[in-house]
Amino acid sequence: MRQTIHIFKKDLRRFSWEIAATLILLGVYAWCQPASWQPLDMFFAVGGGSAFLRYQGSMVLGLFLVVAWTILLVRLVQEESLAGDKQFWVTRPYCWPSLLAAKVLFVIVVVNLPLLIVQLGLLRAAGFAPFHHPDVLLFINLGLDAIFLPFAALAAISGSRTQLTRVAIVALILMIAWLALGSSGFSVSWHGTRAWSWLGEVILFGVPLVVIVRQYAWRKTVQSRWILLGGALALVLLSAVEPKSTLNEAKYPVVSSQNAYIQLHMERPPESQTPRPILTKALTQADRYVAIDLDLYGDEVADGSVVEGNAVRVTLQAADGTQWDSGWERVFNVMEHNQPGTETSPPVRDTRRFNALFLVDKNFFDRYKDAPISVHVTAAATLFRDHAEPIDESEGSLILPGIGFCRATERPVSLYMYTCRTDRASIPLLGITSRRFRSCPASPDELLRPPDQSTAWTGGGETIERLSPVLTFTPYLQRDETKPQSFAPCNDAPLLFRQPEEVRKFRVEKDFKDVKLADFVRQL
Amino acid sequence: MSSAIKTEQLSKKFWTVKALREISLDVPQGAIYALVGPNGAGKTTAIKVLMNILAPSGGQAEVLGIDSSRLRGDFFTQIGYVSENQEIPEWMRVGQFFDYLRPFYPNWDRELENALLQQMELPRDRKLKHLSRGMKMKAALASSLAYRPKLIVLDEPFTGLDPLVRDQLIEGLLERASEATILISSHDLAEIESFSSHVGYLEQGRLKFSEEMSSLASRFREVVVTLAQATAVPAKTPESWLQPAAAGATFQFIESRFDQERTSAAIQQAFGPVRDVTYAPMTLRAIFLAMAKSSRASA
Repeated sequence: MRQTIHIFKKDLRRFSWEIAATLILLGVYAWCQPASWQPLDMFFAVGGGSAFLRYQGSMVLGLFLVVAWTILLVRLVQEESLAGDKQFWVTRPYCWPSLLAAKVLFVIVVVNLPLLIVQLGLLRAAGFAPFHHPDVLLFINLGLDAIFLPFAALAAISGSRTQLTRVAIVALILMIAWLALGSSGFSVSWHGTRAWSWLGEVILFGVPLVVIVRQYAWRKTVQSRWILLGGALALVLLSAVEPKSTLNEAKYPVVSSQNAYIQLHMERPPESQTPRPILTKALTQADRYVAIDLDLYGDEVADGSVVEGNAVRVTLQAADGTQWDSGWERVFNVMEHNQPGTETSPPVRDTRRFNALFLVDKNFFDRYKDAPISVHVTAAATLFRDHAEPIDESEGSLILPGIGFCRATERPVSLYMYTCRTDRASIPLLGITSRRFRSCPASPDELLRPPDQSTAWTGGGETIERLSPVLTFTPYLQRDETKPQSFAPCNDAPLLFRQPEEVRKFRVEKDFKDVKLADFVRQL
Repeated sequence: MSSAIKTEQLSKKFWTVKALREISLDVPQGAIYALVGPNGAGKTTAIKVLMNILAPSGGQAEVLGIDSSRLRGDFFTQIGYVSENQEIPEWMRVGQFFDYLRPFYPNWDRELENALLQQMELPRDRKLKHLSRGMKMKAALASSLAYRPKLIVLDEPFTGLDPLVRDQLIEGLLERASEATILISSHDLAEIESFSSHVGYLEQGRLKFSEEMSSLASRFREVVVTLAQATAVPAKTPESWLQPAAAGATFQFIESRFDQERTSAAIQQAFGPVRDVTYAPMTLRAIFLAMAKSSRASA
């Protein structure tokens, strides 16, 4: 332990300027971060000239910080270089566990501890109890340390900056190959590939960890380089063989269409429909694929229930037996029971939409676009029990119980945006419902039947890599401004906060006959 | 006398290049062992294998009774290693360097440290990167002597140093010689000859000989034979005669296994009665050159 502290103190002295630079950067990051919690226009209105810089800072400084820490870490490892035969320390009485511990201690004290202090400060500034979700703080800090591992391993197998540059170039090439192969499917790996994803993460972080420990223990640089290269090649190989566009079907048992919690049907889009924007991926592959949007809708959701669409898979079968399978495509739609007599914004038709956008091989399309074909749709969805409670909007601020706070953008536009923040690790399915009336109802029963209602749904449970424990999200309320101006919110009927409770996941299948693909092309 | 360093069939390969070929070396405790040889002979590689900086490809090496491949951590409290191309933390000041190293060594002698710094005229407040090459070597040596190691290993410590610095280094080293074994590789044969007790000659990865300096000096002689009439180099000469050459009535060679009676008899056998024979002792440098030249000639 004494040796660990001794080496650690030496490293603090050695990198004092670099440490000061990262601390300043972290301070600026902390100063900028609250800018991302406010609606942009409101922040500019209040913040004045520096607001733009703070907002931009909140977007990019996190990345700069990670890069700065990574460079510092690489230099830290190479301070007692593990590769090569000229370093003085290998013939001095260094105990390798103490040396490794000194480096770990350095990362904890110089990176994690200041970051944790900033995180606690940010939580406090954002209105949250600092230690309400210690797991989130731990997750972010360990995640950051995990990101350092591959870079530390590269530093451990290279004895100089020149060697490191060479090694980094090889790593970059392999990373590009990995990413290119990993995204070769239309959709990214999801749900069904969790095991593959875990395997990838074990290789990505486990192999560097093994290499680092081996290097500190034995300094077998050549072997370590081969191990790391093997790990990188395994990642590339994994990306190549990993099933794309799959779903963990065991999690989504099939229910019969009679007992399904939602009924699927297809509508031919109106001729006048404005072409929707096409995903970038579709544009880049326009010569090989044609984008098809089946205009699929989900109906008959039970009263008090909400159904979240998770994924859809479409199989096309021509009369001659030729098939095209889209694979599973991830979607996010929330469908709920339609209250008779209630209009929604956007219109009911759009709120029931179950996105079924997929790419069809151009050859298949050209051959069968005008021929009637069979379409087999499988939709994966989650049934929720709705839970709503009234919330007050006071001067544009909302409190979402158990979740966090929101600020509304104060401008009368058809897209009414809330900028919300939470201290949770991820955002569950939740909604903010606005109800408007011609005249304010006299009894609570009438409140349940608003003539106009719109809900901003958000969630999906995904987590993103971040440094700040304050997670922001922006639900949009779409209001049809063409409706009579007499529709207005009532004081007795405040906004509803919807936090549905998950009941079960399910799959439902539906066949459609005599579909003409040409009718559903999404125009570029 | 037990061995401070002992190797058996020690080999080291870099891909296909054999840098060390089955070296069996024995450095007795208390010896000042000079490892000499031409450039690329494998001296630095041998020392790096002994110090566990490089792993051997074959054979075994023991350093202070420990398998050299297990040499790490605390074992280095008994070993001082200084190399001409060692990278020291140049951002430190001389004083910081010693302050940093001190806690690693339980036997660190603070008084000796001060004495060494004074003797080698090392300024405590100067950054190592601002020191000359010679000063850096002195700092490295002083930092390897201050804990009174049992074994001092020096790899080409004198290369490129001016005579004054060389003398200071040697002086500092010799003052510790009574309490340590010293293994030193060097090209500076004249300096080494003055204080080495043993010498090993490496060439193309092979240890050609390893013996006490006195024994080496006694078995090498420059022999000049004066004959009655002009002569040529005999078709067959004993293997121990290196660089045989004839000029008029004079024939000269280097005897690598000198024994006056045996050498005289061999001369008698080669030339019959001779007018005069002189046997001149050789310097280590002369022996080294003779070995190197005859090796190249035979290659």
